[in-house]
Amino acid sequence: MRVLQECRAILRVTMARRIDRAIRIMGLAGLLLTLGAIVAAGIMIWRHQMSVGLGLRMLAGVAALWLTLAWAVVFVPRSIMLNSAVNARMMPRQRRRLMQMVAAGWLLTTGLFTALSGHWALFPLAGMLMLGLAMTLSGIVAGVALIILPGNWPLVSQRLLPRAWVEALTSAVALPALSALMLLAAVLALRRMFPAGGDAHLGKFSRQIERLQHARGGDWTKNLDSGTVSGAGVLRFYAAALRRDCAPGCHAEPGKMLMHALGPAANWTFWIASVATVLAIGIGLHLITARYAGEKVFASLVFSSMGGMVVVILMSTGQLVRAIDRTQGEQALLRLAPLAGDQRLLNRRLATQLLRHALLVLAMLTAVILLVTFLVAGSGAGLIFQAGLCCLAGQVALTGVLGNYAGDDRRSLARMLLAGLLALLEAGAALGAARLTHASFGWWTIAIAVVVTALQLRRGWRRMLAAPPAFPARRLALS
Amino acid sequence: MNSQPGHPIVSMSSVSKHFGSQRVLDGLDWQIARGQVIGLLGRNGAGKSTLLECMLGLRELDGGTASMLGEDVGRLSEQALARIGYVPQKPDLFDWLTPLQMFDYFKAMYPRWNTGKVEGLLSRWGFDAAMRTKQIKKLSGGEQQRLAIIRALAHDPEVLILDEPVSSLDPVGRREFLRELVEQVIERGTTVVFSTHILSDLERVAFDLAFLKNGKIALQGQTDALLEGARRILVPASSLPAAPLAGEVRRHQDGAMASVIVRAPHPDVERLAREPGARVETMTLEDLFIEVTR
Repeated sequence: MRVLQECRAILRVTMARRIDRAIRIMGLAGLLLTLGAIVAAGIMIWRHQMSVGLGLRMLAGVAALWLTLAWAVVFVPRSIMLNSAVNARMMPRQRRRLMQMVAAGWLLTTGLFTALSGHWALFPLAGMLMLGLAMTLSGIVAGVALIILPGNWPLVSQRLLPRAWVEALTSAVALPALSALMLLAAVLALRRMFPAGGDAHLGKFSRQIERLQHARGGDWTKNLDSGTVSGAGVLRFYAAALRRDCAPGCHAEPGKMLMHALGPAANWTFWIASVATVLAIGIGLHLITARYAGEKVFASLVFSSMGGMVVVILMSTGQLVRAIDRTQGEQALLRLAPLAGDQRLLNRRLATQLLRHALLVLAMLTAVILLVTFLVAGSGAGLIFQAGLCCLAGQVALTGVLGNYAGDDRRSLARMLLAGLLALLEAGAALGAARLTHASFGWWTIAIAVVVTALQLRRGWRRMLAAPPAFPARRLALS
Repeated sequence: MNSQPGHPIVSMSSVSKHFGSQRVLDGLDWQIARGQVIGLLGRNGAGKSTLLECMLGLRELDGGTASMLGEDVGRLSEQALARIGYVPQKPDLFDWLTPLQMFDYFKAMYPRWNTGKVEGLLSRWGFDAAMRTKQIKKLSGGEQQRLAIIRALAHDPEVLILDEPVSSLDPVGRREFLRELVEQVIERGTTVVFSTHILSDLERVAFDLAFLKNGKIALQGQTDALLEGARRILVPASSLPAAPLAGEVRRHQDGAMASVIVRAPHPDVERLAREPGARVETMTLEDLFIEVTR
């Protein structure tokens, strides 16, 4: 009875609190996808294209997915925050209970996914995936390593590993050994996620906690500012850029200095690590696929990576807007510096610099993504298609920058959703135009997106200049 | 530009500011003369920071006008900006930089920058080579606050606005800061507006005090005069005239007794003191703060 009471209390503290903004947005997107999946399954069952059994299994899969998200995204990070330095030492029973509940959630979600897949041989892989997910969302970056193998298992098992190896790994003999290994990994991970003493907690896991706190605010770029997520290297590039802009004897350019007040996330050096990572992945994929697989694998790789690459462009301006929100104190100091100039001039400089920065980043990311696509897929239709997607994504990303920074921008999410809808309409128009003219869909997408972006920029630029002086940002808003 | 001697260096007239339905500043009038060192007092949430931000043009006014150094605060020229120093309430700014990087950044932003003063203050306030190259975020709250103060003093401002500048400093740090403020700033004739809750600091440095209440300056006067002259008169309510006494700040009745706060002794006070059952008390700055802002 007491165990149940304690579990209920922990669940109430972790799950019944108001959810954070980032989780709310993810939840909304997930809900839309779920509704779409249910409607699609219903239609397919009604048209006898899917059996009722398969449809029910699909719905069970969706439910399992939601359970996993609730466990990994909400429960695990909050339970780690609950195991604070003080609690870890003062309430050892709570720590044990937290570990038991996280372990139970892990076993439940792993078992559910394995059961739904119908292959018990996948149990270790599912366990590894869930463990990696929980660790990553708990601020332990090493968890990503556990996600990579199960996340790419279809590709790895069908294309990269010799068939004999795959059969040995999924055989009935290997299953207990791999499961035991997975359990051992889970025990080690749990001990790492929930350190026993206050000193251990503070000494080893302060960065993890910092990452969790920032992630709760949906502000992962703060990690970079604080040098916690591989930020130290990027900050060195940023420091070099700052040194150059502030060099003694060199005339400081107001626009550049203004952008420095927004922090490293608003500097081009912020993207060095991302660009290098994407390029490294591209080169790695090029080498791996050329070495181990035939031509067929290229197409599937390109198509599976396209979405991910375009998301980078979509998200590229988000950090800029968040930097503006976050650095109002810094902006106030800059506003009082003589180099800032009067408010009208400052407004113009802010608009110019933000657009210049956003366009520079978009151009840089587009070039890198197209280069990677070229490395993996060559210069075929896929490259043009990817360029079209990049243009559409860039257009949506620019919408986030073209705003009124003086006021409280509560409608930014609605504006982004509308921009996404507009991009879908443009893609539809491009598809129609391509069919009518028998030309490439990619070329039409590029043409339409470039024209719409130009019009949008012109209108947004005028609105930004006509808006009240916007530095420090949100100064007309509630504080 | 009208920042000649004799003209107020800061002038605010009928200034209003509200956040949603909450009115923070309500037709506030305030003038600060050149060379004045004034402590701004008020309870938490009274609007001290908002008042200082409006004074600097960092917040849009909903009504009224504000000027500094003879210029509208919404359109301060580069020359005027170069003469203003500001320490905000939140010290952990530019926390991704190191102290040296931050000072290099601001040095590039100001036409006049006293590198010697920065170096001297860094040394005197215990910033060794390691601390100077450490991320500001990783410094303690007190160290961050010291950096904010050094940054505000580095261009030798003529007007210094300090928004709770010593809240994170220990007593030694506060004393060092106050010494610096008196020797390097106040004695040079700098105008200082100083908001704080640490009343003993104000008694040491502020020549004038201003109390903010209900969006207005409820009481302003010279620190010494207020401390020497302010009296609390406890008197039977029946003996108290209905009309306000000369220099009356506040009155309230508690049963048969009434309490009246006056800013200076006056014949009325002496007359009331002779009433049977009456008592006159001198007041500390803390008493005055509590009574005025209650």
